[in-house]
Amino acid sequence: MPKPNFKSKLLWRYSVGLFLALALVAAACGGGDDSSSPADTTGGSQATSGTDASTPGGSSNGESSNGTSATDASSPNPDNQTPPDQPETPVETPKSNPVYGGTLTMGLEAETGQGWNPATTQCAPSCHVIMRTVFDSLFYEDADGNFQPYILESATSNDDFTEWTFTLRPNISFHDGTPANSAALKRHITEITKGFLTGQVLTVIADPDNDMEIIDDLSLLIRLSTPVASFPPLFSGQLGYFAAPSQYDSDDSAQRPIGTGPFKCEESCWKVDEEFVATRNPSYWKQDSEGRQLPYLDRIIFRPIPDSDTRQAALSSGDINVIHDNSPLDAPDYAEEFNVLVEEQRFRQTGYVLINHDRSPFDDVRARRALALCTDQELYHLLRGGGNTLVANGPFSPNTPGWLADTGYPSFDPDAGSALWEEVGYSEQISISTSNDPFNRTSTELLAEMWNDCGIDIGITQVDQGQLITNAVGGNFQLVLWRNHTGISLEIERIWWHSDNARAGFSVNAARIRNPVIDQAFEDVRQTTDPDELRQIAERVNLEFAQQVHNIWLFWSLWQIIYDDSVQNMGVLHIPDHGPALPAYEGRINLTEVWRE
Amino acid sequence: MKPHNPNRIRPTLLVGLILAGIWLAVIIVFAVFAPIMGFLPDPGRFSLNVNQGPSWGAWFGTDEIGRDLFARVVWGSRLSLLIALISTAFGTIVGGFLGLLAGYFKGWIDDFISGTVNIMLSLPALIFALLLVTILEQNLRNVTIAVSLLSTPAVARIVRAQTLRIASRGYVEVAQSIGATRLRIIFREILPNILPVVLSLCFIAFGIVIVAEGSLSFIGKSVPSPSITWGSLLASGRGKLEDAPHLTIYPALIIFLTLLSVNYAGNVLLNRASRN
Amino acid sequence: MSQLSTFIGKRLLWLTSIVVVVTFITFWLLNLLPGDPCTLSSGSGATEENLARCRDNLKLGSNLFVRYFDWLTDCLTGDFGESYRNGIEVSTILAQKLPATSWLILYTMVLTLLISIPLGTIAAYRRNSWVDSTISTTSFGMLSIPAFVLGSIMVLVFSVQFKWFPLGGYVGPTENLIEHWKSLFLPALTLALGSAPIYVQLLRADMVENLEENFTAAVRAKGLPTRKLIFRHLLRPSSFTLVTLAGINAAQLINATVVVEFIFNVAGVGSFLIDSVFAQDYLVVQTITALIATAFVVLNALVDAIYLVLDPRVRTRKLT
Repeated sequence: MPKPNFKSKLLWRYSVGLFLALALVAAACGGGDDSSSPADTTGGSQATSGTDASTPGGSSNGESSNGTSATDASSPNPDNQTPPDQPETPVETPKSNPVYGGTLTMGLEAETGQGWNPATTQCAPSCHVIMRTVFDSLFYEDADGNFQPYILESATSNDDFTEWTFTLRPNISFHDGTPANSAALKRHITEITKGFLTGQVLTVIADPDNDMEIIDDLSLLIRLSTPVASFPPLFSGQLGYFAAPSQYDSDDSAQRPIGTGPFKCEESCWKVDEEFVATRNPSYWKQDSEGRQLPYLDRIIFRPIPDSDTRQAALSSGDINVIHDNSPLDAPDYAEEFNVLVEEQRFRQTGYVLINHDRSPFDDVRARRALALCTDQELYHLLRGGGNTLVANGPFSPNTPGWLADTGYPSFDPDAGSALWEEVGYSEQISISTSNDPFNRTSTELLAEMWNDCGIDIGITQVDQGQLITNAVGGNFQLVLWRNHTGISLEIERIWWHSDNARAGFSVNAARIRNPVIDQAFEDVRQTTDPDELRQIAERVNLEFAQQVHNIWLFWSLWQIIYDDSVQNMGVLHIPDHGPALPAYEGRINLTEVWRE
Repeated sequence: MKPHNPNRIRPTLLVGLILAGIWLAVIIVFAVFAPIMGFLPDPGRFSLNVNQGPSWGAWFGTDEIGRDLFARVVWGSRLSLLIALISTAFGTIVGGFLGLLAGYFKGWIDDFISGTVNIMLSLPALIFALLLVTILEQNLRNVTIAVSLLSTPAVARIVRAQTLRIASRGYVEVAQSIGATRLRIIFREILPNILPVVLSLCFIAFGIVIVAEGSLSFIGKSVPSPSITWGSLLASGRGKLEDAPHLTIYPALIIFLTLLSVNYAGNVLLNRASRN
Repeated sequence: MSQLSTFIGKRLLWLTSIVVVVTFITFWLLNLLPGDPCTLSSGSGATEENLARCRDNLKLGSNLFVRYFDWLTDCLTGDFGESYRNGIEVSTILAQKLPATSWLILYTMVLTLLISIPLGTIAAYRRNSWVDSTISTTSFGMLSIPAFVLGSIMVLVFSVQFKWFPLGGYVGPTENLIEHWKSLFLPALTLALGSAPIYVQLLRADMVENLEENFTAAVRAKGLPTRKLIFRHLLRPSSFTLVTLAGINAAQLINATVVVEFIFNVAGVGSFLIDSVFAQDYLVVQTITALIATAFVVLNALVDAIYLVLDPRVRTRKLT
């Protein structure tokens, strides 16, 4: 049971006050003058859309309530610079034997309107959570961020990384009873190469029919048009969710996923904008470490609750058991009331201002640098993140290969910024785009105000979320608040940063970055699996980003999974023959081994 | 029913009237002169004093990025009142005129007007306003147009119903039979009789418009950032009800007092006018 | 009688043309929206070939009238089409979402009338007294609080604090009647408190006028008991205004449901509609809007019919 909620009592007093005030027409009272009025605030969740990562800085859902900071009542603590002392991996060992049965209800921050076909949907974190119950991924990230085969038994390549052999585990069937064999895998990858977005990631498979060869019932040979040393990371997210040929054949492929996962989607399991019911797969191929059959739960009900206030309220009222959220502002509050699984320091998404390099004046590095000099990152981090995360100096968060304490990214210096802006001599108004989401609007207003202080004439363009993405990929913007890049694998970032993907029209590289140093880094990445070399390449990219000020870095976002006391084993997933998987990553969570008391 | 002296307003009513007048005057003065009020903080200015309750420094407290709520409420009144005034005036005049025509003339005029009104009413207003704002670009003018179109058909419809009723009464028929002109009948017989309903509708419309703008704000389709309206203050304050209730309470209270004053003053004056 | 049947015939023709005009306007408006569904659906993954294929599928190239006509014939033959985002049949979606919203609107109407008729009557009957001013003040208070604020307060107080009403989503009446009521009570109350003030005000204004008319005084002089006076001479004439208002309000409640469905986590048509507008899911928005419009036009016809019953004077006029 959730602990008593003292804040609600505060509210109760306030709302009684409000009604009284209204009824009595008494302008006084109303309660606002309680000086203990807590610091803080709002969190905004920033939803993701776009495959796997790319997103406008925020999302459909509004701000959130909640947020009493227990320690400081008035202002976020400016000293909070060092990485917050978070538990490394709050994975608890179960207190007792797992209990079978029961239903878990989870509130998600968004619905996945495009449905559940891995080749055609666009997976945001809320989509990944569901996908991971119904599908098994070819690879999952282990606790160190390395990609380990999951439903695959092995993935090996030849010496120059041009031929990869994927071998599946034996005796696994899809939910409809069809075998999960190499033919099915070939079909899956073929569909992926044809997908809208997924196809752009897999350009290295030039001709799916001929470049993939079924070796035996479980093994598939994949020939690439160019060496790719980090091939597995590409199959850890949306591309890795192994769907049955019968799903791809079906007219309802978006509505009814058919995978091999711990839970299955039964007839009409999905009611769009209402719920997705995942029912236990009794013949799942995995056992826990004690040899007990997985999963433990009978059912998981996912409810999209885009309004983050409603989502929190539903958790507080006990109507749902788990929610996910990425507003650092709410962090202290959650920690106080619930169990929280905080994602690790590393591999965090980066919040930043995306700059269109094709639009004047930002084709000029001086203009970008001026903007960076005029951005008070520290203040932004305090006001929009409550000081609960870290100021970003590049796309790699601490403990991520490529992270540097000092990247040489310009620090706040409004005088220098102003002078540089003068030098650029751009007199027209600059426009920063934002979605309708109140949290993002306020963030954008804050940035605009900072830049105005520097003498940069800045206007705000407000459009719908969907339109914002369209404008971004279409190059129809100057600046926009964005969120992307975990740095977990440079190969994954290739589609966002490589000049091949920077076009005048539709361009996945929405910033239109064309940087030979970065392009070269991506070629180098494809040649090696040596961690040290990879780290050095990532550091080079990091320095180049800072040097060229390709983005205005803000802070590394913070995903949290918040759950009540009945939920056990949250985030635990054992990769066979290996060890635990990364418990939470970009709001993605595995519910395979969860049980309820 | 106590008999009233028609030429005097009861003292209690008078006190209310004066209070309402003072309140409206204060609101209007602040709204009109906000740009030249030196003591008013910059409504966009952020600070580290976030979500503070009211104090001497910040009368209504501060918001999530430390902006002064009092200044924001004052600046918000400019747009809110502007939108409300324009669209109420538009809705009442245009809607009232159409309703009167339809109810009095009946026949094809009624068919045509009622048809148009029905079409407008059958489009779910908020969706319609949202589509309109999305298509025409999200700005002050278009939000005002969208909100105006919300009240117009409703007013037309109610006025038509009232006119139908009044027009079928004996004295209007008598007036017609003795050869009074149509214009005279409309202005002398019908209009005065439906005026109380129209005006009370008008006061309600004023309130509805302010609240409707808030709903548009809630779905992110009102005037764009960084413009402030009372509705947008409520929409962004609502998420912090538990921790920073002042962000909701003050704008709500101001809206309430303003609507109350408009309605109160309106009704008192109206009662007096109808007695004379 | 033939007079009556021509009248009905005319009305039907009129209704049909309104439905056609309304659906066309919706179709046309949606067509003007910036961007197109193909770029939106493919998001950052759009390529020129993919877009061309998608536009072809949606017949975005052909003439507006042709497309409208195609769509209308499809609808009339019961084929409402499917959502382009996920291929779900619009009829399936409607079957899932319509009940929640319909019940919500129905309960709202009932609650609104339950609140407003007594208050409006009392306010009118005791006009200018403290009762009247308290009712006016309170109703203005309610009117000045937007549904999303009132709803949020209710959630925090009644769901989070007292846990009286769940936030777990809509429950069908056949599943569990008590839970069904509990799942819709707060949203319906929020909406009712938003629309009741308008009813109260108009009802009061209307009744005051009736009261001050001579015939009421005459009736009173005859020594009729107060209750009879109220029912026969106040409520009945005022039901005229009430019916008009209810007719208008029903359609406009759809708007308010949008907001309230979000806050109370009720998966209904309203919130789905907004979602679809933002995703530019043409077919879904068209079909749902057309359906609402058609329902409202029919409702209006009923309101007109009720006029005929309520006020014989209108009947004679209309028929001649």
